[in-house]
Amino acid sequence: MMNPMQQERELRKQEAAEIAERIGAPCSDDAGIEAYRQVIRAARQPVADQLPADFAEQVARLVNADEEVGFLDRWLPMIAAGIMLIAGVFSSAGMLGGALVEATAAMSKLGLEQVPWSMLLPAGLALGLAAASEKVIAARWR
Amino acid sequence: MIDDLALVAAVQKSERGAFERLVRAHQGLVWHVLIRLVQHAEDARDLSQETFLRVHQRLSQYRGDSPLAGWIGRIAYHIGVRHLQRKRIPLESELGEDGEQDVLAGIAGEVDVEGAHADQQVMDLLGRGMQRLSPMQRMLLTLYHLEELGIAEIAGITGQPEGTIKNSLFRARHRLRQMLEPKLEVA
Repeated sequence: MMNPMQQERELRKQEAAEIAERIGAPCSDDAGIEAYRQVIRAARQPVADQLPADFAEQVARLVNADEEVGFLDRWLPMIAAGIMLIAGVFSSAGMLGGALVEATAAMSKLGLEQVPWSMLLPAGLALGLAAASEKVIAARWR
Repeated sequence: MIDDLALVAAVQKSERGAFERLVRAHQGLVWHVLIRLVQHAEDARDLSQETFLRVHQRLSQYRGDSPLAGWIGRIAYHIGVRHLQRKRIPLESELGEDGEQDVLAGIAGEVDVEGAHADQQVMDLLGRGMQRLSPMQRMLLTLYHLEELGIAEIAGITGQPEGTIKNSLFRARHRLRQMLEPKLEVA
């Protein structure tokens, strides 16, 4: 371990070596400064291994391929959802029609054919809303 | 900085060749950060690629308030550090100064500095010595002396205080110099 004075001395030598290297000064008489100059020269040596010459091109190609896949990723689910929605509307319209016919027949059997839809619909909505509110309140207090 | 913003805007508009230009402009820095941290060419190549893919994903987060090089260097540094953590390789040396000196002295013993190719041998010796330094010290020496980045720029990349960077650089150079010392005295 260096004491503070040694540390300060070494730091000055490192700074002197850095300046000498930058300006291309001739060799110094101080062996310490010369050793640091060699250390700096070694640190400036290019790294032996390098990236391939076409690295930038390769990465750009990868990004472009990703963007194309990303475009399909974004739009394919939306198109599929649209098709499913249209199919769902058509099939549920058929089912709803059948259910209405059955409901009307059941009501006429019970003698309720005189009750207007305009009264049944709000009553059904109110019951549904009450059931939903009960669930929300129960979930909050759980 | 204006050039950086123009280049980023061009990439975001998917202008032809813009991203390739961005990679070419910064691949040297990314390579030096990663090869010095991980010291394994194949891993460093994969991590360089990962860095630029992440740069592309996050480019909208670049605000232009600092140079693009530093922003990209920071991403490379974090990817490199995460790789070292996964491999359980410490970023800073766990050996004390004496322990590291023993490792370096072992290399120094193999070199004949009085021979005909003394200069080249000393360079080789120091090159091997650098490889034995901690990943952080190797990277700092390369960023400072080879990439010629300032202390503030390096601090921006690593997120460490400038004083810590200066101290690490000082210790790295001193260790390498100590490795040379006995050989130069004999010569």
